[in-house]
Formats: sequence, C-alpha cells, structure tokens
Amino acid sequence: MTITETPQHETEAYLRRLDRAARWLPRDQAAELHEQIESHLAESLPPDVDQRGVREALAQLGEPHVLVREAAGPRRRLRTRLRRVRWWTWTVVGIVVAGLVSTATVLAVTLIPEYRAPDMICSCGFALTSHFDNVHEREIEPFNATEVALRSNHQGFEFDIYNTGHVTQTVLGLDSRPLNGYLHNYTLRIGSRDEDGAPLTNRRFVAAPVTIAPGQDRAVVVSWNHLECSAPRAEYTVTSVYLRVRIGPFTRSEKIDLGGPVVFKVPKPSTTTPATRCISAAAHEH
Amino acid sequence: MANQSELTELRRGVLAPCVLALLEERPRFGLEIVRDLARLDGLMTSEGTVYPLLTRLTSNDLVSSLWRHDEGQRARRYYSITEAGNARLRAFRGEWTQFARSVDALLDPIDPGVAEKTRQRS
Repeated sequence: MTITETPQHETEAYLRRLDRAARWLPRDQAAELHEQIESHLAESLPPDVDQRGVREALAQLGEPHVLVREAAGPRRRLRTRLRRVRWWTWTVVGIVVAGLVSTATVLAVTLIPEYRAPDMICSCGFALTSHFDNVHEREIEPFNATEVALRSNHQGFEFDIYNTGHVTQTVLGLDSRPLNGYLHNYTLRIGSRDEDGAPLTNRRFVAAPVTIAPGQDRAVVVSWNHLECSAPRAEYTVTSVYLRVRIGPFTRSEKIDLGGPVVFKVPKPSTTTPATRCISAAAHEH
Repeated sequence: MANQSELTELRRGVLAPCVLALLEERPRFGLEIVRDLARLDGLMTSEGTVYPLLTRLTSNDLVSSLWRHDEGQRARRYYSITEAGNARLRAFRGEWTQFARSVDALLDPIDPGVAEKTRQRS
C-alpha cells in the first residue's frame, strides 16, 4: 500500500514531531507552542498550497527541536525537565529517599548508642608476681602506689572489669601500645563467667575474645615475662591497661584504670647479689 | 563572512527588543509579527523561533496576550506590550545606540561600506 503525502499530512507530521520534541516542556508551554505553530501554518499556507510550498513553509519555521530549545530558554532547561518528570517518578524518588532516611535513623538509633557506650570500669584488683594465686597477690590500693617486689620474671596483675553500659562488649585483646612504654609481650586471660568474689585459683580463664553482657563482671589477668636484666631498684609503674573492645560494628580502645599505680620494683642489692642482675624464675621460684 | 553561530547569538540578543518595538506601535498577532520581522533582512534565522520568544516575553510580563475573534476571520491571539515591556524597550534603546556606535567605530576601518550604509540609513 502506498500512502500519498498531502500538504495536510506534511503539516500534521511536523506538528507530531513538535509534540514529541516538546514532551519535556511544561504542559501548558508545550500546548501553547503547538497552538502557535498550528495557527501560524493555518494562516500562512494558502488553501491551494502544494507539497513544495508546505515544505518551504516548514523549513522557514525551523526544526521542531530548535523551537522547543528556544522555548525552554538556556537557563530553564533543567528546571523544565524536572517539571516534566512524571508523578510516579517523584513517588519512587520519595520512597527511596524515605527508605534511606529511615535506614539512617535506624542506624543512628542502633549504632550510636553502641558507639557511645561507656568504657568498662575496673573494680578491685591485685598485683601479682610469681605464681598467680592468693598467696602471692597484693591488693592494689586505690589512689596510692602499690609496690610489688619482683621475685621472678613472671609478673602481672588481676583486675575485674564491669560492663556498666547497656550494650554487650567483646574484649578482643590488649591494645598494641606497651603497658608503660617498655613492658611488652603480655598475655591476656579473661574469666569465662561472672565469678565475682571467687578465689582467683578457682576461676576459669580463657583467651580473648570474650563477650561481656551489660551488667556483668569478668576477671582479667594480664601477665608478662620480664626477661631483661634489671638494674637494682628499677621500677616499672603501670597505672592502666588498654583493651581492644568491639561494640556492635565498632572497635575501639578502652582505657582500664587500675585504681592506683602499681609499681613493680627490683629489690635493692644485697652483699651477695651483683649490682645489676637478671631476675630469673629459676632463682626465685618458691 | 561571519560565523553562523555568532550571527545566531546576535539575532537572539536583539530579536526580543525588535518584537517589543513592533508591539509598541500596536498589538499584533503571531503571524503578523513574523511577517514584519521577516521583511527586515537577516533579523530572523527561522520564523518558528519568534513563537517561543513571544511565550517567554509573556511569562516575563513584558508582553500580554489576548484572544480576539474578528468577523469572518479565525480566532487569533493578539500580543500587546506591557508597562514593564515599555520600560525594558526604553532601556534597550539607550544601550543599543551606544553599543551600535561603538561597534561601528571599530568596524568602520575594516569595512568602510558598513559606515556608508549606516550613514545612509540614518
């Protein structure tokens, strides 16, 4: 089938192209442009115009997309495009934005309390040397320096940590920083249960990580082997311990104050000991 | 020969005041404005661009439009200049005189014919 092009077909096709190009204009503006061009063609084309005359008239008018671009104006194009966005697009955008805001709110509510959870606090504690039992422990005196004479190369202290917050905290281990700047190679063991008050020797300790629920107490033993030769009367003072703790998605360091400084002291030399000596476990074990 | 896009930009800049000047004389309908402008050589790139311009001038309150149905004729939208349009046209006239003089002064030595034509027109 052959469709014969008539002048009317030409003008209608032109107006259709104009409508397509004007889709992203505001509706009233697009309608006005259509009406203006249609009116222009109706008035300017004589009734007996031939196809060639129509084509010349349409060429004089210019390409539809050029007219639409002119109608939008240079500064209005983006605004105009936004105005033409369909209602359901805005609905989808609104739902997505609302979803994002809700997610952010939920995250803020659930995560920020964890992020802001208070550090665990230390209750009473003991400085330890040699065997870690009740015989060789020395209670850390609050606010005062607790002096402990080093009798072996195996030292440490025990303290209880208490989770005062409302979220569970998991102790991952000791922070990488040295206890007082020069003591290294610690071992960390944590009570597997809340056994507040039980003798140290009866408690069951495990390696980190250990989870501590809100309101729970755990005994912690930090110990190390001091293998270096120490000068007589050398002192190693420790006031706090840094623990790596995970709370929800966050991992942070918590400073556990021991309540008072613990001073590990190398005994003063006697006539039988050299001025500088290495504390040896073999020499000072029971 | 001047660059086509430069001429287009130049035309775009002066077309609005030219339309305002036509409407200052009397209200006109769209095709009438197009034809009046088309008589002036080189002022319009395409006839169709006048309509978006009329819409913009209307939305900027420089021009108002009114439908009129005269006896024996189809309904036409007539455009008239507003007070704001008049003020804009007055301002443009003052600026254009100075602008055209400055441009002529620069262009004259290159193309003496332009100066001669300008003198004859004025």
